[in-house]
Order: sequence, then structure tokens, then C-alpha cells
Amino acid sequence: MLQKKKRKPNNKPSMMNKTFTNQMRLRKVSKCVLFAFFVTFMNPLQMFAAAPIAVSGKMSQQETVTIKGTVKDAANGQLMPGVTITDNQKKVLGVTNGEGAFTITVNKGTEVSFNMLGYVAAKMIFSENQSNVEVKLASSSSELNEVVVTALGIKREANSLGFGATKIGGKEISDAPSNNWSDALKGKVPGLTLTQTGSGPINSTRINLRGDRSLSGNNEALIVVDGVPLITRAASSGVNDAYGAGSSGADKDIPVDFGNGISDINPDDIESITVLKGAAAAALYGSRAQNGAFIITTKSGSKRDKGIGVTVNSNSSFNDVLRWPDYQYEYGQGNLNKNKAGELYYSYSASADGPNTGSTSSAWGPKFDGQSYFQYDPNVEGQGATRTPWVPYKDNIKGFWRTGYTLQNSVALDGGTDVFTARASITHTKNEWIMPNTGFERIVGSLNTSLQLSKKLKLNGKFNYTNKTSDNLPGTGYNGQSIAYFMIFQNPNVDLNWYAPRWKKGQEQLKQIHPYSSFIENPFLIANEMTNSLNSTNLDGNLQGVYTFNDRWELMFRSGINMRVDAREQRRTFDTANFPLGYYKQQDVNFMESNTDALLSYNNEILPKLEFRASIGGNLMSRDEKQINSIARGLLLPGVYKLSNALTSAVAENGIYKRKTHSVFGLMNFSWDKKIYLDITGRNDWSSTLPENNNSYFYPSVSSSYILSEIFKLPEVISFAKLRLSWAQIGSDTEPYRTIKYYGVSAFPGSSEAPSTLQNADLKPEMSRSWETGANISLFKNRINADVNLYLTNTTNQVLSVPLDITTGFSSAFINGGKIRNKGIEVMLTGKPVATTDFTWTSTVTWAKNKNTILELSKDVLASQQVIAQSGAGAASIIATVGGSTGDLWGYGLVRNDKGQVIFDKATGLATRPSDIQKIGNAYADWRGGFQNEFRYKDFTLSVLIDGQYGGIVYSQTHHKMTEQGKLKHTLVGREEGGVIGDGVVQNADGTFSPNTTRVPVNTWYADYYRRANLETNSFDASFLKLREARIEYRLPKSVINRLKVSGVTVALYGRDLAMISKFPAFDPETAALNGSTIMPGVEMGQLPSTRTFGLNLRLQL
Amino acid sequence: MAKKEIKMKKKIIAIFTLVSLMAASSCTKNFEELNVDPNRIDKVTPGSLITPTIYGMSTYFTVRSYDFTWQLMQVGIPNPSVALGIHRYDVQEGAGNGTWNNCYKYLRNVREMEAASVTYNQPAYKAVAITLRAYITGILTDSFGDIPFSEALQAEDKITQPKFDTQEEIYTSLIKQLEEANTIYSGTEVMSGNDLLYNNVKANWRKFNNSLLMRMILRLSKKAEFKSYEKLAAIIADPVKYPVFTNNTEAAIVKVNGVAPYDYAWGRRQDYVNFTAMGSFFVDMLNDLEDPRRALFMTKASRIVNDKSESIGYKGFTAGHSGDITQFDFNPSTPNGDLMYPSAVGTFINEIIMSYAEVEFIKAEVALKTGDLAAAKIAYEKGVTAAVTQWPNGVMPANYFVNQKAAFNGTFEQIMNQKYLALFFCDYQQWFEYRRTGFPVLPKTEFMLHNGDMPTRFMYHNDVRRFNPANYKIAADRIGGDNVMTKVWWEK
Repeated sequence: MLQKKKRKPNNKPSMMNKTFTNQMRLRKVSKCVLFAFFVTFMNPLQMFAAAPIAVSGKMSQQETVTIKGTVKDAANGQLMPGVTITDNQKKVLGVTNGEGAFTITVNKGTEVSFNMLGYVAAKMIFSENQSNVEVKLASSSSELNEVVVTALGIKREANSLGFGATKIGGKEISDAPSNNWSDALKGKVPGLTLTQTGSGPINSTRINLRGDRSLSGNNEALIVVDGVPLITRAASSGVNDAYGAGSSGADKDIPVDFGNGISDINPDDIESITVLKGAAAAALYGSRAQNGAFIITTKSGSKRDKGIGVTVNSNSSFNDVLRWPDYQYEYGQGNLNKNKAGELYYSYSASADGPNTGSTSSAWGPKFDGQSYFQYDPNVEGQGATRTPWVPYKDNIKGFWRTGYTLQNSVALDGGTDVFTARASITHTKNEWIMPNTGFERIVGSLNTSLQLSKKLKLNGKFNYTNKTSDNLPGTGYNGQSIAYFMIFQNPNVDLNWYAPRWKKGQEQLKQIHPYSSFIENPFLIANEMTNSLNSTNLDGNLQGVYTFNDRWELMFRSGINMRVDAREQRRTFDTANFPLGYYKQQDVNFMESNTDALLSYNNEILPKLEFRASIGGNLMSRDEKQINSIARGLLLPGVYKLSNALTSAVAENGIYKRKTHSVFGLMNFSWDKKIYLDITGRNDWSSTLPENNNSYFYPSVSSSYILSEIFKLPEVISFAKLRLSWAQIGSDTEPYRTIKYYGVSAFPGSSEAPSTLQNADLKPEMSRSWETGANISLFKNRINADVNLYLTNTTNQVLSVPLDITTGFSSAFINGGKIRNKGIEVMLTGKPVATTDFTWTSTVTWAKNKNTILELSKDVLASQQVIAQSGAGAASIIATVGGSTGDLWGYGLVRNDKGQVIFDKATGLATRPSDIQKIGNAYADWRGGFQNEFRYKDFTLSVLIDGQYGGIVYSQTHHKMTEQGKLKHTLVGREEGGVIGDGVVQNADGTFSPNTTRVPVNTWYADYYRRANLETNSFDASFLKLREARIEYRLPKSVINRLKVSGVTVALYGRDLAMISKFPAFDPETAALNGSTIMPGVEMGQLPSTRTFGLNLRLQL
Repeated sequence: MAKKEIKMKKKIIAIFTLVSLMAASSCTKNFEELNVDPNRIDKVTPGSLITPTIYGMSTYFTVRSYDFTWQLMQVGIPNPSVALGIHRYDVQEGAGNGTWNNCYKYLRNVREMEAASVTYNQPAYKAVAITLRAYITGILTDSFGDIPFSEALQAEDKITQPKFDTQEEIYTSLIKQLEEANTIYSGTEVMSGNDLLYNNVKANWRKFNNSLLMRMILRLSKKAEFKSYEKLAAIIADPVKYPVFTNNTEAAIVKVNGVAPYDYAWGRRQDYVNFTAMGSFFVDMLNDLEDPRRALFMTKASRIVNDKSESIGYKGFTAGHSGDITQFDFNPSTPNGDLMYPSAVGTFINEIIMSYAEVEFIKAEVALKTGDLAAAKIAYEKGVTAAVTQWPNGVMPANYFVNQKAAFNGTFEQIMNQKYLALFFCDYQQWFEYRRTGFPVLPKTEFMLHNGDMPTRFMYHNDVRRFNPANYKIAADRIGGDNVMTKVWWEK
């Protein structure tokens, strides 16, 4: 019997291999292979059932001893729960409980092994009953050999990984919290790029690892919380261009950032985050992980000696504006209007001084020189009766903003018994953002339980509830209803308070106060009445069962759902430029994703020193999204926001999107004497979004790891060295409904329109292939650690929507195509210059460089250029060309001669206009880096993180418009001289060049040289250096804590984004335009200020 | 013990059954069904394509008329306008991009309409498709010259680089098609779609079709071999076979009330009203005629006299001025917002596709050119009257033609000047007719580019150079170079 038991599993790997081969061969033949596959596996089932009988029969015949004891960490003496105890057959004898205690019964003389990932196994032989054994486990030789959670929740020792992975502890996330936990990753993970829209308190975030792989804009990493992917999809508020001023059409509105769900995770619940950057790391997650994955593990409960553990965390932080553009307050409103005496003058509507000059949004008016003019008088809501002093109001923009705050309080309870552990936490966050009447409130409740139902069956249940509400989130982009637009258009001679009454006397809800240009909406009206409210509820939960048949076989079964329901409302008042009769929209967005996984694992030492582990599993993924948009385009009664108040029937514009992916996957890990590790994975997906004959695709990965310090005898200084090498392929599907021709929905009743995008019935899955190699080296007894990665990824067959020449009858087409290469290097250096009992200094440097190159455009694309994204009415485009990159910003530039001098028009003195657009620069940074230092002296810890990027450009709409309007300090040049002479040359009739001498009036000069379409003059180096985090923490000493009868108290003062060095003229170069639900890098299109945060954090553990 | 093991065995079997069930359900049979879009339709009736096409074209070209034709034809100019701009004949490379994109965009609705008319056996819609195609393609070819036509719109049939047809081929084809449509319209079929233009009155579609036929034949008047005037005389002589517009209600004028989805052409009233001064040439011509349209089209100019703003009647700014605004000591007449974007949203405005007045002016020209002065006078007066009364609140004064400047004087220039006024807000028609006839005689200034010669076409869309380089080159060479001063075929 024993022999049978041993032999059978040994056959398994070959069976598995065979089945895999079959998979590859069969995938076009049958879609139901999976079934056959599992039928094959019914065979071992009988074996499992039989095995225990055999064991129990044998046990009764031998003499046994019973051992009781505890397992402790050799380093700190802490009790260790969850230590697996096995015999020399690798049979599990037991597991230590929450208090680190165990009781086992073994045959006399058996070698017993105490195993815990990250620790050196302790081996003992018992020949008599013992009741007070103390086992001490020492952590593995290298500090790098920590346990990381990899794909599918499999815990691995870092040593065994053949790919790059960065682990971030929960403390780093919750130490200096911001509204979005992902902020805390900035500067800490080499290769990570976080792009945010600068759009308010719940900033949507684009998380990107190792560069953009795809031309289609889907380049975001997958986020997995406790094994279940998180919905990070954003649903557009309905407007898909951040540049929308006055554009016609049904919804002339602005994009509103309702968040993409990433911010809904409570930072206090995070135990750890493993960032799996490479394809090999994430291959098992399939398509969605092709851009890497964030594996988030939440905290769970543990058994306690007495009572329950209580952790109270209280965090208060204050935000204000980090940086302002350089506004000028020397000249007021006007457009170089001169009176009869030839002097610049001002007149709010026509007066004795001259015709009206008070409607323009430009500040090319007279200097603030102590004189007086007829100006706006808020009391009469018109021209004042007398001339009043002509003075600047330096608080005309800044005064609109306030100091915001965030209060975050959480209580977590945890505890348990031998069989049941649980952790429950509740966190309340209240944010009042820096813009008046904006902010949000969030409650996150989570429960994490684990139940040892029987010796072999363990159930884990997790449940998480988030409710996020906001009365108002700011609109973004460049459009009348956005505050960004107001800030651009506000004039220096205008007191902000003049707008405060919102409505004209006696004309509430009918006539707003906007006394100057009627393009500007009243900012107080925007903030208080043109609101965008949100009530978002996110529920996610999963139930996981782990059945351990014996020490070799384990079955995991998990089913989880994640759903988010957003109820949004957008209100627009009467008398606005875009909505003379108001507007009201209800938008309900329902996301629902379910994942069901099964994973059967086997592990054994198949040869001496050769350990083998294999898993095979399946996943069923189903995703539904429904958007319900009910819109009243025009209202009957002003100020009443109900659909029944629609001027004509309210319109329903709904959308349903469904997709499913079914997958089978398997992996094999070999480990040779803990020196060489080899992982092989394979996955086959069937996706509903691809045409029937192309909807099945297989992709494998191989990764290996070599512990050089174990294999070779290395010099003393090298305490640890490891080399990694991996290759992986990841397949990917597309969005639903792209294979059949559909007609466009028309806003008109009984109408439809021809499609603008050509369908494709032959779409193929996208594939990316990557190589990665890296090394971990520790020197001087781990005082210096280096982690270096080199990678190369080629993505082919991407499903793209590419523009077509409109004369073909379509504007775009779905095609497979393109080949993009990303290659780069990531470095992380950690050093401990000082490490004494009282004082330690730890220093970490992260640095990453990625080079993105387009090797081929699709063969179906006839053009040599392909537009990926556009904003600013076509001013800025990201255009792909062979040899270029997916971040190339194109637009009009200046025309230069051979010497690089700008050529001006002889007659006008204005810059000559080029006939075609050109590449101006690249939105991607050349490199990014972070430098963190932590000093610990006794109970004090001080940490400082500086990070930044070098290179990359950002186009600034704010700069363009404020320059055109004479609002920025640099536009002071030339005012007193009667104009500007462009620095450059003019072309003579004979083709030679002579210096430009034509003086151009300032308003014309700045409007033309910095015209919107001039991408060159409005783009700026996006390099920056930020003081990202600074934190000082005091941990109450043991003596005090004991007197207080608590187990820990820490107080910390911290700051985030405290200072910045950058040449960018608007608020923050770390920005991007929000185009509906997609974020376009390299373009600032009406930015809101970014914040500086000061906070106090108090943590109390009872 | 045995019992426990059996129990366990059952459990294991249960778990595996679940797994197997899960595996079994992974058959992908329903995947194709799942990937059928529940939101959009995959078939279309021909009548459902009319409204988006009509609204889209009329709205786009209402704005284009204002943005482009107004400046070129000195109807109105941007204010302030310090340098360059279209009124100084600064027509940029991309000036025609929107026209190119929009015309081809709506032509694909026409393509679908024609196909659906066959599918649903509703030939009347084939005729509508022809009428709309001629209307849209006419604007395209008059703006650009040779364009992709016979091979255009066929990406589904793998034609991704359509050849450019010559303007002559296009005109020949469209005129033939309009004749065919005229015959189809005479059938008994009843139209039953959503029809923003004519609410399914097929007789009006037929009149639009034939009026358009007249416009297209007239456009070729310089091409002697086409015998435009002869052909037009024949059409005019046979109103039974060729019914055309006989009053404003039959005209192709789209009524839009500003309530979504029938939004006015501009996103904001300000975009129409602000930053524009009426052109002195246009205003003065109306002033000479003491024309009632002045009050409909524009505000009065004003000047500060003794610290007070005082009205000075209708007065515009000179197109192509130096850029120095101090030369004008008055606030000019500006567009009357209520004409196209009434402050009382819900009020209907007119967007003109083809007016009845245009037909009368064609008749007047044909009569004049064929020597029938009496008929020319009748048509001229009918044309002027129609052009005034087609606007909301447009009332024809009884004594209009008493004015020496208005009374018919038998000159071609007078007909064309009034036609110029009648084509106000009608896409690029003023520009096309100016290129065909040289009327009205527009003043030149030294600040205009190209020595004051008006640009005669748009450059092709930049995309064409990228996507269809070979055919682009053939066309560009054939027309005499892809630049704004090249004359299209009918103009030569």
C-alpha cells in the first residue's frame, strides 16, 4: 500500500505533461478539453480516498510517542503559528496553532521537521514522550529570502523566484497615508509609473510597470486582492475629451473623475503588496496581468493568549496647494485698448473714458499705477457710479482654495481560537478637499476569517465593503464648467468676492453673476450648484476552501465576486454658456466580476534533493458592466434636478457589456537542493470577445533561479548571490463586440448612423513575449543588498483601433498589429551604513529606465503614422511611428533654419508656421528614481523619501491660454516697449537670413507664439524632484507601554509632497489629461492644483 | 473508522464533481452569443438614416458658412483680428479638414441608406440617397476638385486606397444619378422614416432633387460643351417632368429649435455673437438696398458721443484691414444672436441646405443668358422676395423694388449680387458662385495674401498624404498642384 502511494504520485507529473501537450494540440479541435482533463484526474481521486486507510492501518502496529511544545522565532522569541510539522516522508503531522503550540504523535525515532517559509527547517528526532519542547526556527540565511505571495496566492521564498518581484510591507503603505494608497508606492518600486489626472480628491490613477506595451492604451497593471482581481475600470462620466470648451453636441460637459476604484482599498488593511513586474511572474493570471500585477494580501487574524487584539489608528492630515503658476499682478484686464490720448485705459462697459474694455479675458490692459477707472460695482451689478482705484487682487485665484483636511480613523479587532481566527476592521475617512464644497466620505468594513473545519479542510472567508459618498467632485479639463477654466480666465483686477453672491439680485437660478466674459461661469456657482455627486458601493468577497489530502496533495477551491455600484448625478444650472436651460444627468454604473478558481497541487521530493511541486487549475471569469444614463438635456423649472423636470422627455442612454474568459493553467516548480529553481507554467484561455475560431490561445512561461552563493564558494564579502532568468509569453483578448458590424446610436428618435469603425471578424489574440534576467547580491553580511533586473518585452498582434482614411468609408478599424519593444533596467540598492542596537540608518535607492520602441506598425495600417491619442482639439497627438515610441507627442512646432534659428515672417514678425506636424518630444521619462533614508534612534524613527523623474515633456494648456491672455509673469516682457521682437531671423528674397527686427504688439505676440496648436512652445520638461515623504515616528518605550497596559503606541508626524523642483509652468508635471475613462499622458488640459499634505498619525495597539 | 472514510470520500467526490461541473461549463458554446452587442442594432432601415445626415450636414455647414464663407466673402470678420485670418485670404493647410471629414462621414450614411433601400425594397430611399449624395459630393468636389468617389467608402470590400475621380467624371455621374432619382421619385411609394427635412413628403424631396440638379448644371456654365443654359432652359420649361422649389416651404431648409437633440449649430450663443464684426461690404450692400434683412441679421453699430453710446445705424468693419483697431472709432454691427441662437431656446431657427431663392436666381440667370429679360425680372424679384421672407420675421417691404439699387436693371451683376445676399448662411455657395462668376466684385486690400486673389480650393486632408500617397499624387498633379490657389475644373 505504501509503495502504491509513493509510486502513484510520481506518475502524476508525466500525466500532467501529457495533458498539457494534449491541450496545445487539442485547442482548436475541442472547446471542452477541460472536462476530459478533469476526468483524467478522477483517477487520483480514488487514490486519495484509499490512502488514509492505509496510513491508519499502519500506525496501530508501531510504537508511538506524543510530543507537545511550542515553536519560537530564534531571533525575537516570538511564538510562531502556522509552522508545518512533517515526518521524513513529508507527511504532515500537524501545524502549530495561534500560540505557536503543537501536539504530535509520531513513530518512535522518526525525524520530525518543523517548516516555515523563510526559515531554516529544524529537524529533531524523538524517542520518548515529551510535553515541553521548545523549537527555535532561525530565519533563512539571507534577508532576501523572505516569503512573497505570487500568482494565485502561492507563497514562495524569494530565493526561488526566477523573476523580479518587489515586496512592500503594509506599514509603508499606511505610515504616511494619502487619499489613495497607491501614492505610497511612489519612489519605492523601481519600474513603477503612477500617472494621475490632477483632478480632485479621488484621483484616478494609471498604474504602469515597465513601460507601455500596447498602442491601444490598455497598459495598466492588474490589482489582485486576496486572490480576486479588483475592478479598476473607470466609467467615463460621458465626456471623452478634456478639451471641450464650447464644443457642440448633446453633452457639452466636462469629464468628472469619479475614481477608478483603486483608491477604495483601505491602506490599514494591507498586510503586504507584492509587485510582480515581469510577464513570467504574472503569466498565471493571464491576459490582464500582461502589464504586471499587484498582489495585495490583507491582514488576517491570529490566535491570542487572552482576549482580542485591538488596533486603533487615527490619522489627521491637512492639505494645501503645493505650487502655483507664476501669475502676474502688474497689469489688468484689456486688449491694448487705447483712449484718444493714445494711453491704455480701462472701462467696465462704455464710459466717459471710452468704449467697453471689460469683456475680454485678457490682461493686456493698463498697468496698476494708482489711477482710477470706471469698474464693476458688485452693489449695482454693473458699472460703478464713480471711478474707483485700479488695483490688483492677488487673492483672485488663490483665495478660492482652502486648506483641506482628511481624517481617517480605523479600529481593527483580531483574535481567534485553535480552529477559528478572524480580523475585522472598520475605517472611516472624511475628506474636505482644497476646493470648496468638494471632498468625500468613505467607510470601509472588512472581515477576514479562517476556519480549520477539520484537520484537512480549511475555509477562508473574506468580505470587504466600501461605501464612498461625495456631494460634489470637481469637474476637470478645459471647459466652462471647470474651475481650472475659471482660474485661467480670471483677471488680475477682479475681486473674487464679486462673484460670491452667485445670482443676480431677484434673479436667483436665472441669471448668474459673471460680469466679465460670458464664457466664464461663476466659480461659486460651479462649486456649490453645478455639482457632481457620487455614491459608490464596492462589495467584494471570496470564499476559499483548502483541502489537504495529505502532505502531497492539496486542493484549493475559491469563488469570489467583486461588484461596484456607482450612483452619480450631474447638475448644471440655468444660464450657463453650454446649458442655457440647465442639464441634469443620473448615471448608474454597475460593475460585477466573478472569478471561480480551482487549483490542485502536488509536491514531493522525487529524487534526493530534487523537490517537485505541481499545480493544475482552472478559472472561470465573468464580467458584466451596465451603465444607465438618464439625461434631461434642458430643464423646465430652474434649480430643480429631477428627471421629471426635463424640458422634453428625459433620454435613456444605456450600455451593457458582458464578457467571459475560461482558463486552464498549470505550473511545475523544480527545486534542486535549494540551489537551482525552475518554474514552468502554461495557460490556455478561451475568451468570449474574440471570434469563434480564434478564441482559444495558449501561452507558456519558464523561469529559473540560481543561488550562486550556494552553488559556488564565493568570496567572504558576498553573503548571498542569486541569478534569475526567465522567458514568458502572455496572450490577451480584446473588448467585447468588435467582430460584427453594428450601427451607431443616434441621439435622434427613430434614427441611427453608419458605423465609424470597421469591424473585424478575424481578430486574433494579442501576444507579448518577454525575457528577463536579474540578480540579487548581498554584501558584507547583508549590509548592502542589490537587486537588478534587465528585461525585454515584445508585444505583437495587438488589437488596436487604428484610424483609417475617412474616404474609405470608416474612420477607424479594429486590427491586429504592431510590434512594440520595451526594454529596461531596474535597480534597487539597500544599504545599512550604521546598524547598532540604538541607532540604525537604512538607505534605499531605486532607479529604473525603460526604453519603449515601436518596431512595426500593423501591416493593415497603410499609414506610416498611427494616432494613439489626441487632446486639445488636435493640438497634441500621441503618434506611433516605426522607430518611435508610444509616448511620442506630435504637434506643430517652430520653423528653424539650418543654424537652428527660429524663422519669423518678415511682414508680420510672427513665427513662420510649419506645414505639417512634427514630433516635439516624448511624454515618457528617461528614468525615474527614489532615494529613501530611514534613521532609527531608540524609539524614534525618521524617514525621508525623495523621488523624481528625469526627462519627458508635458504639453500645458494652462500655459498656452494664460500666456495668450497675458496672465503669467513671463508675459510682462515687451509691454512697456510696445511689443516683442521675436528672437530669430527672417528669410530674405535671396534665401539668406537676417535678424528679425519686427516688433509685434504683446497681445498678438503671445497669442501667436504660444498659440494652442504650437506644441513646441507650450511643452515643458517634465523632470521633477519631489520631497515625497518625510516622517518622524515615536514609539512609546516598553516601560511606559506596560504601565498603560497596552501593547504599543506610536505617534508620527508626516508630510507628503512637501516640496517640488520643476520647470513645469502649471501646477504639477506629474499629470495627464483625463479623456473620459482613459488617461492620456504628456498632456495637461486644465489642471487642478496638486496638494501638499501634513499629517499626524496615532496608532494604539491594545 | 470505515464510516468516516466513506464520508470523507463522499466529500472529496463532491468537491471534484464541483470542479468537473465548472470545467464542463467552460465549454464556450455560448461565447458567440455573449459577444453579440446588446446595445447596438446590426440592421438598419433606410429611413432612419435621414435625420442624422440632414442635421449633421446643415449644422456643420451653418457654422462653416460663418467661420469661412463670411470672412472670404466679406459678410463678417473676426474682431479683433490683428493679423492674417481667412478674410485676409490666409487659408491654412488644414482649413478643409472638417469639410472633408464631415462630408465623407455623412456619405457613409448615404451608402448604408442605398444598401438598405434594396434590402427593404424601398426604392424611394435610393432616390433620397442619390439626392443627398449629390448635395454632399457637390460641396466636396467644389471645395477640393478631384476627390475619391467611385471607389470611395468601400473599406468593407477591401478598397483601402480609393482612386481620385476627376471632377468632370463626378459631375457627369451625379447629374445622371439625379435624373434617375427624379424618375424614381415619380413612383407611388410612400416614405416612412424619421425625416427631419420633409417629414416624408416625397414630392418635396423630388423638388429638392431637381433644384439640386439645376444647381449642379449651372455650376458647369463655363464648360461650353456642357451647354448648361440650354439644359436648364429645358428643365425650367418642363415643370411637370422637373418639379422644382416654388416657395420657401418646399425649400431644403432645416428647422431647429435648440432643444436637445436638435441643438443649435453653436455650442454657445457667445461663440456666434462675440468676437465678430459684420463686414462693411455686406452691410453697405444691404444699406444701399435699405434691406429689411439688416435688422434680422445684425445689431446696430454705436459710437461714444459726449460720453454716451449712440446708435449709428448698420456699419461694419472692412475685411482685410490693417489690424490696427484704432482706425475704427465705433463699435461695429455684430451678428444678431436671435437669428441663429435665440436667447429663448426653443425658438426655431433656419439652417439652409438649398433655398427656393437660389432656384429663382438660377432661373433669372438662365433667362438673362438666353435673352428673356422679362422672365429674368420676374425670377429676380421672386428670388429677392423669397430670400427675404425665408427668414423668421422676414417681411418684404412693398416698396423694395422702388429703390433704384433694387429695381431690376437687367445686369448679370445685379442678379449675382442679390444671389450673394440670398446665399447668406448657405454653406460655401457664395464662394463657389463667386469663383464661377466673379460676382459680387469684392474690394481688395493690401493686407490680403496672394495679391488679393481669393483662394479657390482647400488643400486635401493631411491624412490622404499619409494613407493614400500614390493616388494623392496622381490627383494633385492632375489638378495642377495641391494648393489653395489651384482652380478646379469647372472654374477653368
